[in-house]
Amino acid sequence: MQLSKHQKKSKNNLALAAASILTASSLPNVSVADWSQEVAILYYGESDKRVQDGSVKYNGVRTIEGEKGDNTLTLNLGIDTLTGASPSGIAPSNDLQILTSPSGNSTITHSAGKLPLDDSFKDTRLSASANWEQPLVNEGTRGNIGASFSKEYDYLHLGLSGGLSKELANKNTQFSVGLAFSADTLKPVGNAPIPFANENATKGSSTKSKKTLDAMLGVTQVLSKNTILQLNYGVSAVNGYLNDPYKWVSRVNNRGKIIENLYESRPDSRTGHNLFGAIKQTLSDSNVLSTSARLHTDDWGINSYTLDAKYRVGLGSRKSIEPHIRYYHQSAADFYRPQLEASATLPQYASADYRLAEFNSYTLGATYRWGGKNNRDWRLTGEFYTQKPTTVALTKGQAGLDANPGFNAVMLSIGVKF
Amino acid sequence: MPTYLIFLIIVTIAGCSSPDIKPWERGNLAKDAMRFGSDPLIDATEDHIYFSKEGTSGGRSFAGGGCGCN
Repeated sequence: MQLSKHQKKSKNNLALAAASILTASSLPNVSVADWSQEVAILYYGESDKRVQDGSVKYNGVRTIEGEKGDNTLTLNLGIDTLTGASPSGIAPSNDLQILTSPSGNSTITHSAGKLPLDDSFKDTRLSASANWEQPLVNEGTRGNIGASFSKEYDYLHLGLSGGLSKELANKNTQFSVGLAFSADTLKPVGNAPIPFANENATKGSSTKSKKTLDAMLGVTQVLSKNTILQLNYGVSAVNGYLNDPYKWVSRVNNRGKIIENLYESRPDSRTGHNLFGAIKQTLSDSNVLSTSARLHTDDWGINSYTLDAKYRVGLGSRKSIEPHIRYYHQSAADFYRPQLEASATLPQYASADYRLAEFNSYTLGATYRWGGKNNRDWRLTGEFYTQKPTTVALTKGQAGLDANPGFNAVMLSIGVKF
Repeated sequence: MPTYLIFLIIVTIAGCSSPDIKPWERGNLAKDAMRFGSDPLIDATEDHIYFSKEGTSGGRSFAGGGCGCN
C-alpha cells in the first residue's frame, strides 16, 4: 500500500514539477488528492453453535495537499450479518425449561443439563463513519472532526467526535486530545423489560436510550531511529439504559431447582478509565515488533488488563508473516451473579451476563501479507480466541453443571489495500 | 502488567529529553508497519469483537459504544 501511495504521489509530484517548469511558476493553491483504500471480508464463528458473523468492511483515506499541509478524509463502511445463539443468563438445570422468546410469539426449550442459549438472534448491522483532519495554524497543529452511525434491527447509534494534535521537537513528540459523544437508541423486540420482572409481567416502554461521553489524552514519542511509543489515557462515562433486554438471571432453590427467571438489572451509569501503552520497534530491516498493554478500571467493579504482541517478519519480495498473541484478564462486575438464591432478598442489581464474569481470554493468530498485481497489498488473517471463566460454585442439585463454561471462536479475514 | 505501563511512562518521560531524531534518520520510522493504526480494518475488527465479548473496551481509541452486541 505504501509503495502504491508513494508511487502515485511521486507521479503527481512529477506532473506538478513538470507543470511548474513549463509555466515557470511556483505552486500556490495547487491541491493534489490521493486515495488509500482497503476492503476486507471477515468470518467470525463461535463453538457450540453460538454466534456466527460474516462481514464486509471498507476503509478509505483521501489525502489532499493543502497550503498548510495534508488534509485527510477517512471513511469507514461495514455490514455484518449475525446468526446463532447467545447465553441467555438463565442458570443450567437438570430440569427441562420452556420459556417465551423475546418477541412473545414463540417458546424456547432448554434441555436438561445444557447451558440455556437463546437462538432467536438474527441481525444485520450497518455502520459508517467519516472523519476530516486538517492543519490549523501550521502543519504540526492539526484538528479533526468526525461522525459515526450504525443501525441494527433494534439499535441505532449516532456519534460525533473531535480532536486536536500538536507536534513538537522536530516531530519527535506529538500530543493529542479528543472528545467523542454518542447517543444510542434501543427498541428491544417485544419492548424493554422492567428489571427483575419475570416472563409473565407486562413489559415497559418500547424505546430506551443511552448517552456516552469519551475523552482521551495521548502522547506519541519517537525514542530512537527504530522505536516509537504511544501512551493514552481515556475516560468513558455512559448514562441511560445499560441493561441487555434479552438477558435473564435465575432464582434457584438450594436443591438446584429454578423457581423463576427474572430480567436482569444493571445500574444506569458507568464510568471507566483506560491507560494504554504501545511500543513499535524495528528489530532489523524488515522485522517489526509491536507490543501493547492496557489497564482498565470502572465503577462497576471490573478491573482488566490486556497484553498484546505482534511480530512482523519480512519474507522478502513484499511478503511477510505476523504472528499475534493476546492475553486478557478481567475481574467480575460487583453485581455479577450466575444465579440468585430463591430464599434471599433481591439485590439492587444483578446480571448473569457472561461478559461481566471473571475470566481470562487468549488470542493466538497470524497475518500473512503479500504483494499482488497493480501494487495491491493482500493479507490473510486467521485467529483463534478462547475465553476461560473462573468457575463459580452452584447448588448441590446442579452438580456437574456450569453456568459459564466459556467458549472458543475463530476469526478469518482476507483484505486488500489499493 | 502495571510494571510494563510504569516502564512505558518512565520511557516516555526519558524519551522527551532524548536527542532529536533528524528527518534523514527516519527511514525505519517511516515504514508503514511502524505507524500506529497502519491496519485500520484489523484494529477495527479486533476492537469490535472484543467489545462484543468482553466487559471492557477502548485504549488505543475511544471506548465508546455503537452496538447492542450479543
